[in-house]
Amino acid sequence: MPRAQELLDQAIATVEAASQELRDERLVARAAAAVGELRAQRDKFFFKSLVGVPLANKAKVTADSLMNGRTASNLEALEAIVAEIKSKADAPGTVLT
Amino acid sequence: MKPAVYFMDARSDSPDTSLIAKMLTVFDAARLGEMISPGDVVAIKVHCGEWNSSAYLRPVYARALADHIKELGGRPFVCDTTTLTYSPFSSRATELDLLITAERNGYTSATLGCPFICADGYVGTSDYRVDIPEGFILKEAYIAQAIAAADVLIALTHFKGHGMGVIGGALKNLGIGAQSKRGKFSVHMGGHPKYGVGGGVKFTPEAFKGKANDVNWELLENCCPYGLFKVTADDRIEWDRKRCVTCLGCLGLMNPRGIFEPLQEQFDATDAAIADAALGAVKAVGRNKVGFINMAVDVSPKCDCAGFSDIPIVPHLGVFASKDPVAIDQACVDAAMRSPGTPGSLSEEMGVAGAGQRKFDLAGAAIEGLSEQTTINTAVVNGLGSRDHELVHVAKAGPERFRFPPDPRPTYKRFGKLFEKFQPFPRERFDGQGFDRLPEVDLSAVKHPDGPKVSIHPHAPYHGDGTQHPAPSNGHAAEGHRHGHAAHSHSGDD
Repeated sequence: MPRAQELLDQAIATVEAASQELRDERLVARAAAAVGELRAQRDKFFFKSLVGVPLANKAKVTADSLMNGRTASNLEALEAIVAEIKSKADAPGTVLT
Repeated sequence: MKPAVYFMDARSDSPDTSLIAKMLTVFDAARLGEMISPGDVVAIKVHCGEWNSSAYLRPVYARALADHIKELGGRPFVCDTTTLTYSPFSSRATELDLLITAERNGYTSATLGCPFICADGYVGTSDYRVDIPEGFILKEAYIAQAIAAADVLIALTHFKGHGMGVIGGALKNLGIGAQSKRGKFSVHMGGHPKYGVGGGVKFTPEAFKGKANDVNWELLENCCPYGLFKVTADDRIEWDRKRCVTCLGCLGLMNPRGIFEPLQEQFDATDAAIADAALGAVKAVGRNKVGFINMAVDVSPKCDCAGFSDIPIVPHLGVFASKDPVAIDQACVDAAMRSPGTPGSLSEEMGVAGAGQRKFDLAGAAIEGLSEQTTINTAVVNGLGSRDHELVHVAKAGPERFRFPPDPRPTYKRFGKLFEKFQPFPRERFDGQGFDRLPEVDLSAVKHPDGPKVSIHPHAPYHGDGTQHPAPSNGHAAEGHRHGHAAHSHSGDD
């Protein structure tokens, strides 16, 4: 499996595990939405190539932070990464990048 | 006997250890100048950088080398070649575009002191065909005409990473950079039944979401110079793949959409072909007439052909020169592997920042599975050169050689008479002190890391908190800040 997808899968699993411990239903819904977005991006070329590795890694790091501290601010950090992934995954580029 | 690679590190603390001086020093140590006879036309092959690239070699390196070649009696010119289109918005795919981009990046005849030319003509069809029966995959190469016509070729290479080639070194500077556009089509496997995009890529048209769901759908039709993609009235994408020449204009659009699956074999085959094409360039000019300088500085993860330059993945590695393009590239790859990665760079994000780790397989390549050794190893197989080499550390050449050539005289001889006539220091003012200044201030008050330890001048026009003080109506108020010191200024000095 491409390493970006692997990192993203780890991030998704971590967010799902963390969300089970969340008490605020609004945060649970937001975490579920983030997982849904990551799943939707996972099979794109961006994550099959090496280009997606840095953002997949950031998603994993922020997911780990959410697991360690189930706070709204950590969830916001994850959502920011998800937004960045969405903006970059479909962006046209050269084959070289 | 192992080929020699002459090397100087990137540290600099004197004019003769500047990177420019080191480039000339290793050039001489490798005896590259001995290839040049008086009157020889010498091609200096550089990568002038894509539009908005910023890590390409500063033009001063080519200028200094051209000046040195002129001292040796040669007639230098600096050159680059047209590219494949390789994206919908490339900036060097015709001579016109190349020259415009090169000029913006600082490569002009004026800055270089010799002509800057596009070596393969307006469209990239001006070339010279070379048979390469020794080739691993290619059996012919098409060398840019101006390079093939030169008496001597110096590949002045910015060593860095590359998404497709994995490394961008001396071999790629010739194996891609010295090929005409026609030659580049061959190297990239255009028309190849197995390794070409048209022949090998997995095409999944059902991944196209339709015009309504793809705001850039018109680009899908316009990314191919041959117009091989059509979006039909009933929202299907069609591709005339048999006519595909592997210009790479489409991959950056088709891969993200899932319409194409990346074809790793095309990348691998191209990396091997680069070595064969480089051999073709060497054969076109003559084996003993090609020299190599690798400037391993600003080692960006992607090539200068990308329209951006990321943080270097390793610190400056140094300056290398050799007559063997394989040895010099291997020496640079080895140096990158020995080096720790740059904090915050792609080498760290890819987990290869440790000293001793291969850097480019992950931090350079666009897709996983490529190797920083493919081109180098292929160039061993086709006989172009040797991976094994002797790394020769070169001593600095002394400051005398690198003084300002137009006027190397010391200061008094240069300026004594000049300053008598045009006195830049107003010695007649302020009792010979020349300028209006306070006799003493608390300099320690402005050195503190947390900010100044004296109050803001009461009439400073801009305050650090963003507020703006009304400008004084005349110079008197400012003089009041002198704490009683005599103000010798004339009106308006404050």
